[in-house]
Amino acid sequence: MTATLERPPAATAPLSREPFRWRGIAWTLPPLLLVLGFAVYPMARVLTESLDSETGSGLDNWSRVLGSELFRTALWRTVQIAALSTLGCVIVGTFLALVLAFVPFTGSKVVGRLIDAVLSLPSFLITLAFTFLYGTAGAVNALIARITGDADGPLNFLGTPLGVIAAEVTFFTPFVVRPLLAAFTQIPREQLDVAASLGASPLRVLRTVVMPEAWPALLAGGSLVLLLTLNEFGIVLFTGAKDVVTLPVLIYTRGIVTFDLPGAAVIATVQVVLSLTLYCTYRFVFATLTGGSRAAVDEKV
Amino acid sequence: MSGTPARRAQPSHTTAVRGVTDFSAPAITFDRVTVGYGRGKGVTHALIDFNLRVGRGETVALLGPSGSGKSTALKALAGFVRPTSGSVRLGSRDVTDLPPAKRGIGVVVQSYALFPHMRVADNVAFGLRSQRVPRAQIGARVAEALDMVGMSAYGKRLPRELSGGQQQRIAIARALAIRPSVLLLDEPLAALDARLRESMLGELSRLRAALPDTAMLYVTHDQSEALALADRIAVMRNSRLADIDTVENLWKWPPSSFTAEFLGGANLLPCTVTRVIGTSALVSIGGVPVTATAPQPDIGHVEWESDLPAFLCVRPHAVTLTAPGARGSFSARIVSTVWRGSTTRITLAVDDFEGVQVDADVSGHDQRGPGTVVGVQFPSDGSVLVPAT
Repeated sequence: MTATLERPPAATAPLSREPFRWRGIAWTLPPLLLVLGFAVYPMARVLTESLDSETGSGLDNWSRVLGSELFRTALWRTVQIAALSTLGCVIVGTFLALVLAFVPFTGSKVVGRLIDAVLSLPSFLITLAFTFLYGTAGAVNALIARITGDADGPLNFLGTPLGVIAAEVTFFTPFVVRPLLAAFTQIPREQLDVAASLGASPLRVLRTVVMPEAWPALLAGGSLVLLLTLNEFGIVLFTGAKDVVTLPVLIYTRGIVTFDLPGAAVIATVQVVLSLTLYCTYRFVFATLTGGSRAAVDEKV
Repeated sequence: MSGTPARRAQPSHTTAVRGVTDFSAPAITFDRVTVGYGRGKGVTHALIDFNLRVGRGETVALLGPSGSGKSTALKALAGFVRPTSGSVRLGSRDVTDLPPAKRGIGVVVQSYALFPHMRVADNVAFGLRSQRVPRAQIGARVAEALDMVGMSAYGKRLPRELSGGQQQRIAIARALAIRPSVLLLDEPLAALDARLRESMLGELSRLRAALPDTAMLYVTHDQSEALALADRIAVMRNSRLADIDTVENLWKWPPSSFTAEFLGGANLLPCTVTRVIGTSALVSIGGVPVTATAPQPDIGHVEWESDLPAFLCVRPHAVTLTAPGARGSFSARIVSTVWRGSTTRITLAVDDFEGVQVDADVSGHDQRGPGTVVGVQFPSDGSVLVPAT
């Protein structure tokens, strides 16, 4: 028997696709213009400003700024403070998140909310509080001086890189705690139970089960903190640290104090490149760590 | 089946010793274990006065509805929850206060709980590494465990690259790799589809045969899994052990109405005991005399006194449909029919049983519709007396 298949009717094109295309463009254009106007253009403007030179050669500014000892010191100091602050945040944040997630205690929810509340405060407020507490005329120094009978207390670190790092660790730690807590709550309780039943000590469960699963969250929180500390301005300014010159402070000094706008633009461009490089690295590593693969399908039996 | 004979549970008035069987070397012992959550007046008991012994090589299924306490019993044994009172022993060792890591129990859970960042081989090797097994032995032990569940070729895969059934096999291999004397399975097939569950049941049966010295505690709410795998079934209800016996005994002679209904969905027809001689009983249902079996437990004794209210337990497949008015039959009307492929479930309203409907399973696709008048017989060998309390 021969069967003939009816030819399916030719797919008829929509009567008019043009309105749909224009509608799509109409929806895309406003956000695109906003991004161009408020993000790309200012960056481009900073870059062109950095190439603006009285001698005509755009690279003069760059060689002048990049060749200066002050820039190299500021760059090194920025990276140093950002790296150490991030390390501090990761250590303190991981500890806090572990305690809050796995060691239930009365008031743990309040502590969690307090940590969240820190996220809503401006960064300079922490520095101000640090000044009242740990400054040369602060409460802690006064207490120690009263106990020891000395005229002055021993604490005098707020104006040093250590003071900046301490303030940044205090302010930015919640940025690590929050994603870690979310990651810890995603780990099924059964995994921890089964790991323990297989003979793993709590420390081994933490090291081999909990932390590897929370690694993407730790990476996300740590990267965010690194980005924020690289660009942090308020804390450094408020500590009043004379010897702590970071790239944002240098940009401020060049742009506002000495009116060297091209020089400030060069440093700002370096700062942007640094941040974007860090962001791209984070995205790449995150994608590699969380990259998925397809699940198998149960065979029919 | 275990080589150790199982015994029937005592009647309900001896709840404290219910389920305690006389195994000479029990692998698992629950001794009056109670688990409570919360404090003071707000305490909720998830397990109350639980007694159970599981022999070496024996498989006991904890069967019960949600919230009956079966998973809590398993958690108490694994060390995931601490009993409020009572003790738990593995062999002769009291493990009540030991952390899970020190108990040496293999645990398989419904959600598999594989470590997602570890490859299959590392998952299976996890317990061996935790127990500091020499590195030279780990490879061979992992291969052996994977081979046991037919997953030798999957050692380098990540759990997310496996199907549900494959992941459950790996979870079993991981538990077996540490060569536990006790294996706990908490609803291990619940997350699988029906067809795969059937296949895995067969595999678990084969695995049981391959591990003659391993005691297994199998938590399930699915009676078919319990019937297929267990030597004995412990029926849980309201945080307590309700009944325990061999699979066959529980099925044939359920000691309580709850077990009769939960295990196999038996018809429970209210009746009055007229006379019992040995294991033969004459009962009255709505004034109509019916013969039945009156079982006696191996331990304890049930007094089937005359005029005692009881239930006549008849499994749907034992109900016989006849022509209306047939000798020894009750007149009934078909209320509804549900075709189930190889059988048809017919629900009947029997004229003499007020307010009680009877389910009957007949083979094939029965075409009789609702309202049809039929005769119903309850053969004495398929009708068992069950205490009304």
